[in-house]
Amino acid sequence: MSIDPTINIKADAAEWAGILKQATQSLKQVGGHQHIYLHASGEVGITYPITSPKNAGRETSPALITTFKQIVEITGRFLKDCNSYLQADMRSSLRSLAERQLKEVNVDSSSLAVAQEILLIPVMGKRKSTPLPAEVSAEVNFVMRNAAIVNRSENGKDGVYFIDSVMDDKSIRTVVKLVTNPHIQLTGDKLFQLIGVIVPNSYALDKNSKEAALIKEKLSELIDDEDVKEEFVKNLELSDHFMYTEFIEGCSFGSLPALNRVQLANPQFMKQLGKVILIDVLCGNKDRLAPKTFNPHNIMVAAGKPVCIDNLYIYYHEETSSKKQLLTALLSGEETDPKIIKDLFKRLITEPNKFLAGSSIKETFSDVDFARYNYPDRCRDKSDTQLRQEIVIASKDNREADFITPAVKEARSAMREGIRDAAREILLLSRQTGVMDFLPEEVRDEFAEMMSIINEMEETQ
Amino acid sequence: MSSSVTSNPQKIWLDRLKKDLGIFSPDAIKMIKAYLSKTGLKTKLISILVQMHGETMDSYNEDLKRKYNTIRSEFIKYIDERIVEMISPKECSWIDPWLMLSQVSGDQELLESSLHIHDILFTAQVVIGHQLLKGKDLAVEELHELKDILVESYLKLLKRAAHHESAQKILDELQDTLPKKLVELETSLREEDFEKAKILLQQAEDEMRVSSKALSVLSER
Repeated sequence: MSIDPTINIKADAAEWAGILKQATQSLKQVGGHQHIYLHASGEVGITYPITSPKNAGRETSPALITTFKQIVEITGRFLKDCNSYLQADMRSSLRSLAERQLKEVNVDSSSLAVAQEILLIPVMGKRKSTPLPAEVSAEVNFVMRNAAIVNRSENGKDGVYFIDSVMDDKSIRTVVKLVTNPHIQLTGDKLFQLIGVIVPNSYALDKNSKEAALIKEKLSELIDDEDVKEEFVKNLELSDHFMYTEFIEGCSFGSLPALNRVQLANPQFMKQLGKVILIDVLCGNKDRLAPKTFNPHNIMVAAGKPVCIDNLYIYYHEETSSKKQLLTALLSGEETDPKIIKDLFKRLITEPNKFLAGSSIKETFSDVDFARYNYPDRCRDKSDTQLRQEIVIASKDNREADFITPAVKEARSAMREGIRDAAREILLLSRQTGVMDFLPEEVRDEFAEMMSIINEMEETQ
Repeated sequence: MSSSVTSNPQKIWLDRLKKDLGIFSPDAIKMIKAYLSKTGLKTKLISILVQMHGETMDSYNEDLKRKYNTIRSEFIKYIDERIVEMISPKECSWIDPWLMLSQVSGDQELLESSLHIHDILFTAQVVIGHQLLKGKDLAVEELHELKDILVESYLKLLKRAAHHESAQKILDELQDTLPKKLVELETSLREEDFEKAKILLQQAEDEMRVSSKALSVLSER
């Protein structure tokens, strides 16, 4: 089945939102991985991965620029409410690209406040919904009929809802969220499960199923807050599945007290975290441990172990090469820490809150605090300013070790070990017939390329 | 073995609270706020814990974290005791005369009075035990309200339930001493004299226990 590669909407920007919505729906119907992008010529392009939007922003006609600006505005509003899987650093580079291109055609780049959202939208094709196991269907039914309290999570931009249900003599908590493409998450979940990292059990419920209807009814009834209710209704319109997920009795890493975070820098935890990093790199998921887009809320901690949530497998053709580069960097470097580990360690343990934009948690646990905690004697007679300067100088001279305890070194080395173990494990598993059959068709080539990299690295070591 | 325990909604939510106290993340706190009234708990200690949680996020002070964790553990332990008091009051009927007489009369109001009193004394116990200056005002406020309701209602309720003449004498004495003790406790907390407050709290609990024991002996005659 093919689709019209371009839809011309040169004159009428007002039609754009409707057309885009329609195009998104069509893409989901036909399956396969496509991009929707916007030409500055005023065309919306729908491509297969092999074709990238090279023509974006080349037209100079004032009329088209006006149309373009209108399109940007309308699309921005539309897409702001959509589930977009673009990660922050990708958005940022797309924004720079768009700004550069618009400068060429003399368009005020301030009108591009949301343009980074619209240039490239990965859409993984819709798959045949697998029938929900009878026992899960019964559970959903039971849980929702007995739902007593619903609350929106502090996290999750598209709305994550906790549901407390009272059954017999106990309460059960479940998590429900609205998604546009559950396969992205289910694929990521499966990879983690394969290497023994805990993920909550999730089931995708088609929005038209009877289970979804019950969830919709109960959530509409039990959400008290009017703003949350409004957001739910809006998300409901834009999504096509409910993700029904088991609740993990744990706390997100980002919500843990400072001292707990430090205490988790033990070899066992860090080794598991190393495994998480490897799978995240394979998945292209930057919404957790990637240094620039660090999000510690996607690591839960339960019984001292990491539990991964929101495990998205991000796939679009342009990203494959950067995934491969990252994987190579991660697996190389026997003696020195790859930069990603150093960066991550610093962010994860010493200053996680810097990255929690919009969070009520204040920045704490700076390098200075960390040094004071680890080296009380050395730091006792120094002011914060003095200590900060010493750390900066030590770091410039590659003498960070002056402020790093053996325990921290051990934790970093465990993290590295975890990365290697996970790579080896996933490689061995990928060689087994049928084990990777769950991978969507369009990501298999990419995955195979990454397995070759791991294989090469293994052979050279 | 099948359970024959009748479903008790307050117990269900108290069990949930125990789990959420163990997690105490911003999401767990939000959920707690949504169902707290369903637990029947009268102590507002959660608000102090929320405050402390915020502080631990900003600090690597070992003492603060230890205190915060200890209070959560004490709270969980208290909830366990409260559940026993709610569903098997017989097992702890010696702790106060309200619980003792609720066993004799089956009066639900007496049981609720007892639960209320212990909830508030638990707040005081935590504030005193950890010398929580930030919890002082809360403990004072809760004790003040308790003293008023004790005089206006709970003590009268107790006297109505006790028919024995000697029992009335025991309760007269309690009526005379317990509210005073609570006022003194309130004052010592206001003055941040935690040592004195600790003794007064112990005395208040002892008085209730002694009255309960005495009533128990009378009811056995």
